[in-house]
Amino acid sequence: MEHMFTYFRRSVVRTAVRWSLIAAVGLAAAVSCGGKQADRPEATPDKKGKGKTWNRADAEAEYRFIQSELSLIKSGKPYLVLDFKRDRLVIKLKGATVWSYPMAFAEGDAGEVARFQERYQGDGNRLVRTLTGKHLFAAKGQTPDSVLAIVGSAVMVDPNNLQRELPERFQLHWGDNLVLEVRTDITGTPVSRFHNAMIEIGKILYKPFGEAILVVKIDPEEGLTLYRATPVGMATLIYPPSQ
Amino acid sequence: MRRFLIIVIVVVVVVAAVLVTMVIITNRRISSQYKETDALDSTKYTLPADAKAAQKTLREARAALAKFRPTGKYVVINTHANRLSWRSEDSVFYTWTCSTGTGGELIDSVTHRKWVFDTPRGVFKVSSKIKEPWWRKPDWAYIQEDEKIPKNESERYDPEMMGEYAIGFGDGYFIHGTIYERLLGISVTHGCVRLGSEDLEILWSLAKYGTYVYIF
Repeated sequence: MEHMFTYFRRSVVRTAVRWSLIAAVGLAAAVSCGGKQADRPEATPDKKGKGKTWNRADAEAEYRFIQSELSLIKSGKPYLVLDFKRDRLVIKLKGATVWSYPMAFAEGDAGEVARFQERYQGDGNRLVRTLTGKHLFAAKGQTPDSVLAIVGSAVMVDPNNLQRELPERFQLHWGDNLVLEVRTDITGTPVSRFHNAMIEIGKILYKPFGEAILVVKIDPEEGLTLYRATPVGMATLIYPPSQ
Repeated sequence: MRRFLIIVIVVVVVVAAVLVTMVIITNRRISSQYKETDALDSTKYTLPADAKAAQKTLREARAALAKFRPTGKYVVINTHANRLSWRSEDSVFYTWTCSTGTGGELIDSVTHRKWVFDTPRGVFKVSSKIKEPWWRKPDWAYIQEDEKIPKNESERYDPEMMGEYAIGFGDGYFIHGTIYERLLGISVTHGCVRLGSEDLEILWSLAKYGTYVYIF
């Protein structure tokens, strides 16, 4: 009987030791993996994503984009969205789309677009930039000067202030040699031949140092809106955000 | 011969240097008309480390953004091109030519009162709808025409000027008709938005009280 108890006690102790060891090894493994958890994608289902797997990098990018847009909404001013997912130029006001036009690339290829996106976001994944410069190459008057002269005198306003010029071609600059060149199919009068020539030469000179120029074609009337509604200093948001 | 070559080379080098300098100055001047600030740093936004907390934070952020996206149809007034659109977030249903403010100023030489004839920019809501509106001529209308401001209030009213309908979006500003339809497309108004009579009739039937009006 005593022998039996001894045997029982021994087997219980052995089992307890065995389970303790397994638990200790398991705990050690969990602790060692826990340190690297942040580096691995978290594969838990996202409740709102309707069965989509939760991906930390995607979520961080989306969150950065949402917060950036919310900060622009808060400013109360219109902002430009370069939507490379839908290839559209969008002007938004307080989160609502007020103007939108497809980005039809006149020059370059998908590689150029990718270079532009990469350069825009840089190493720090910047989503918001402000327009640092703008240059109108050539434009054409939308309304005949004779009409404007009559209207100007009637409403007591300088006729030049009433003229809305349809742009033939203009550039938007974001610094870091990021340029969006917009072209329409009308022929206008050059605004400054000298500056135009300097920019053309600059385009060739800067190219080897990593310039990202996107050239898009646009309807003249829509070009007028884009040119006038994008003042220097305007905030611009890029989509989609890179991870 | 050798001296001539040296002179030619020097001239070419100097001209090239001047040209490159001018190109750099011009390009730099154009691309830095505005100094970029660091106020809009999107890299500072990060989710909490815990997965569940991160999912919750992201859901809240999505909801916060969704609140600003209009769910119904709304009016957009493009003052840059003098266009008025009836649209939703994804589609444009109508686009009409309109007229917006001149941006001009008027100062009364006697009282030194000042008026700026600009269409306000921002987000508004349809706050009134008036059929067959009468225009109450404000003081500036008389000052602009070099006329005497009437003492009798009833002399101020004009039944023709605003067309058949007026849709108010606050602070005395309206989308209304005009007797000068030939001037649509040019910025000639004192701040209100003029629309052609047929287009105005359609907008009148579509826009309800509370409909958003975005002006940019």
